[in-house]
Amino acid sequence: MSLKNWTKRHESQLKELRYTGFLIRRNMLIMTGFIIVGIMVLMGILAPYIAPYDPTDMQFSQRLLPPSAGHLLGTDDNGMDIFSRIVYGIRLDLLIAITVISMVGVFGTILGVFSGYYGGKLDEITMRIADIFLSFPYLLLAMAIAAVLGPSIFHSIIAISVTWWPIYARLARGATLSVKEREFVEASRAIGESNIYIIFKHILPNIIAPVLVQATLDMGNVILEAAALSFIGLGAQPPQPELGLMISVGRNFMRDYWWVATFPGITILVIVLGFNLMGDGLRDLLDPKVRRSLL
Amino acid sequence: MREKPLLEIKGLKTYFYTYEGTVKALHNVNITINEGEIFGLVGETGCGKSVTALSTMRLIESPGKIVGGEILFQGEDLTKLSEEEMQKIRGNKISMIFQDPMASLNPLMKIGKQIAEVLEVHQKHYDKNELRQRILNILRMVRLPSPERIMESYPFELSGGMRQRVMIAMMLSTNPKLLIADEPTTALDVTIQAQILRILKEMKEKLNISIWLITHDLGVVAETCDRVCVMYAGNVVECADVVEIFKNPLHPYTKGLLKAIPSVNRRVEELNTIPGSVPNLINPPPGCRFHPRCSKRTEICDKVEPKSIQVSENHTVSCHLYSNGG
Amino acid sequence: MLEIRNLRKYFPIKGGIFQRKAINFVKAVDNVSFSVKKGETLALVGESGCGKTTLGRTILRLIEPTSGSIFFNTPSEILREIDALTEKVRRNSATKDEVERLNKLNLTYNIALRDEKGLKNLRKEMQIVFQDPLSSLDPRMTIRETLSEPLKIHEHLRKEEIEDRVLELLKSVGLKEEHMHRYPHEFSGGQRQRICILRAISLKPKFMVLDEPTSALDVSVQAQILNLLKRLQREFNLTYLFITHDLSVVRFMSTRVAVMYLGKIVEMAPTEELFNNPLHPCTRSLLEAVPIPEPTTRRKKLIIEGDVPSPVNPPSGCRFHTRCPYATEACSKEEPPLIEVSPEHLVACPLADKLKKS
Repeated sequence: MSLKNWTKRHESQLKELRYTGFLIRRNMLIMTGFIIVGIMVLMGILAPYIAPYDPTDMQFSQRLLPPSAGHLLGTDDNGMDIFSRIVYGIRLDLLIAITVISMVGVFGTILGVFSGYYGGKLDEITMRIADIFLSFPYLLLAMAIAAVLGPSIFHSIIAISVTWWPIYARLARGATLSVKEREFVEASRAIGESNIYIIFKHILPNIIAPVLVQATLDMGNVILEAAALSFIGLGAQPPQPELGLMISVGRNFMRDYWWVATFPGITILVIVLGFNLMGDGLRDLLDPKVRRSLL
Repeated sequence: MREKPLLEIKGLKTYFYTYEGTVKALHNVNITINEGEIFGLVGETGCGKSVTALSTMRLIESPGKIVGGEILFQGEDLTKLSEEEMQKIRGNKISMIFQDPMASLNPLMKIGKQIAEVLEVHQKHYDKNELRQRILNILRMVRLPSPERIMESYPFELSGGMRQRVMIAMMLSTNPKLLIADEPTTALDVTIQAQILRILKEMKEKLNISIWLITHDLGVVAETCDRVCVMYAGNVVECADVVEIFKNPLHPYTKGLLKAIPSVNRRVEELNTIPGSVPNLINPPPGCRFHPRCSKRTEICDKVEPKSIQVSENHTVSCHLYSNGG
Repeated sequence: MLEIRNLRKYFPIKGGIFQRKAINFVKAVDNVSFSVKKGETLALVGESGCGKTTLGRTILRLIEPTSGSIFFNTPSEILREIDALTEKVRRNSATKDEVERLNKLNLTYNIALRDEKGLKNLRKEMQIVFQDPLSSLDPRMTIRETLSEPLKIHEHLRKEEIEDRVLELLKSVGLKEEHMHRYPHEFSGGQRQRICILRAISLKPKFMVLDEPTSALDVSVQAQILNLLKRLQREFNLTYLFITHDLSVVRFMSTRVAVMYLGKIVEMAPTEELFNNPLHPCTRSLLEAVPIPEPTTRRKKLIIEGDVPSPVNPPSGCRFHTRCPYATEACSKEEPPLIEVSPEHLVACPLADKLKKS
């Protein structure tokens, strides 16, 4: 197919895309979110090229040095370069968040869609289980699971995922209930489409927007939670470059060597802020009502 | 006898500035509403009838803007008033009801209390008993059964028709000069619609107010209004007495519209249609906006905008067919 | 062509602490029987909440009926046999063989008893067009995708063949090739409804339910759509069940009319007969209330007071008696049956005879 033909076929999509671009450019907050997240992701991907030192290379002769030209953000108590550790820390935390969100997102959403679409017993059971999970504070439950499994990054991913899926199940279920009532679903049934076909062809594409928004917002939340688990010693183990762990270590030297905990702390703040801004922005971009009114 | 004009809209232009371009929603709209009449503004979706009303109330929100023309209400130009001055006119001298009364009622407040609020915002303070009597009177006026019970009800406890009556009562409680009713019966069943239209007619007689009825239903117009203007794509194309416009429609659009309605009185084999669809108002057709769909178009139609022509005492039309002495 | 027998649809209202017990029912469709003949347009008229929409969807099994039978394209001798057997079973005089025979016939012919698989074949024959064309099109699908769906499911065609068919369909209602790749929100209301109609007729059905297909549209567009529907009916020899609240459209579209009120059919007659000689007070009040675009004939109207009562606790006896200007005491006690007063004209009102004379 020639390019000209292709653009003709996808004219509508291109138009929407251009409009989306216009909306993003117009809104400073969304822009900031996208830029922060963009930089963070780039840093994560290019970590080996950006970091000047090996993040786990201990130079005991260089312990607790303040920020300088040689060590941009100083060194920690084991003489590891904090800047390099932060760059790798971003990479690790992003990976944790992406793993958790993609697992939880897919599992929770599909569960939610099915229980919303079919209703009845399946719905009743799924939602009650979800209620049980939601009635514990996340962190407490995650801590309990991580403690039972033993401290490691892998286990903290599992712990967080187990506590997180109900959010998506609920969200997807709610969205499914409203999409299900729309007449195009009824029209599809009248045509003779099977339920599975309707779920994947009609329901899922129409509920994916709020799920994406939630996933973006949750990227920040999961990073916070992973950092929290590491902070209390149930997640990453030294000398792994993980932001929460770095704060935990640095906390002991806060009074005399402020940079050890402060820089990882600021990094977490910026990442979470970035994802939140982007999520809020996406919500506006993807909500058809807001989208039209932003004209 | 010439009627006294209450509201005169002259050359009104309202534009909406959007990403895709400027939507010229209203283009030189001229309307006159006289005292003590029911004036009908008809047209299809997107023709600008609601925008005209909202412009009059100065309720056009960004990205829309009134960019030209004047709106004379009792001789005063509403477009020049400050927001505070306008606030005094809204709800007090000009009131408005909408298609969905539920959207205008506070769902968490009893009907009686809501009416009391309207009365107290716009008028002097009443003592408790007097206020109650006034509210009951107002509710009785719109033929609501057992007004005592309705006063104590929440909006969701009432049916659609009752809610619309409450809205009418509420809006008339401040003794306005003009009531704008934007598609007040569109969401209602025909039997309920007949009840509401009867109330509007009664109110006009009793309170000697003017009513500006906005609707897409020519049947409603024929049964309720005294005078009518037809709008198409942001223009007023024809204005006349109600009898005149149905008996002797002049503009090709009005003619087409009248022929497109199926009749309850006769069976026809095929309905007349107006070919094509409503134009995009970002790039409206040049000249007469109706010319691409008009079967009687001539060379001049896509070049010159038709002016409003007085064809008889109470009949004006904006069409080139009638421009040379017509 | 279509035979509806004693169809009921009750929606439960859940109550109790866990919202699990049905404490009451909305009787949306309550014991309705009628038939639709091949090639005709039966209009189903009534105010909101009268159950006309539910009835239309129940016939297509988009809503599960509570009880009753739906027969579609069933040979008349089989229908007669079923009726005879049902009558026998009701009187408890049927033999075991006869009961079995009845069950077997019902399973084969009664749509109300079909399973998913059995329904799929039926979908080709019976289609529906909804009121709101925007919400009946998937906003995330281009028109090409939407119109391909029925063909993909029922006919095993190659991709190019499907695309050709879609294009052919679009052209038949005046839409162009470039419209194929657009999304529903880019079309006008009339164009969207045409697309919905295309989706319904793409499988060449024999029977179509039209659920207020023009009430969301402007009059000039309504005229286009109504003409199109008539044209299609002629071309494809379709049978319509036309659901609407607008009586002027009924006179244009239909050959026969059934008037519903609170889940029941109150009057049924050929269109011209109904308009010239309406008997049930409910029909009369509906007709009177229709605004007519002729200001010179502004009439003194019979405006009935009050609102439609709730279908949860419908009035006893004749359901219309609370609003009926002619109601007598008997009306609130006994439910009037639907009786034939003149050929093909059925009314459920004991006063119909008197009203006819007055």
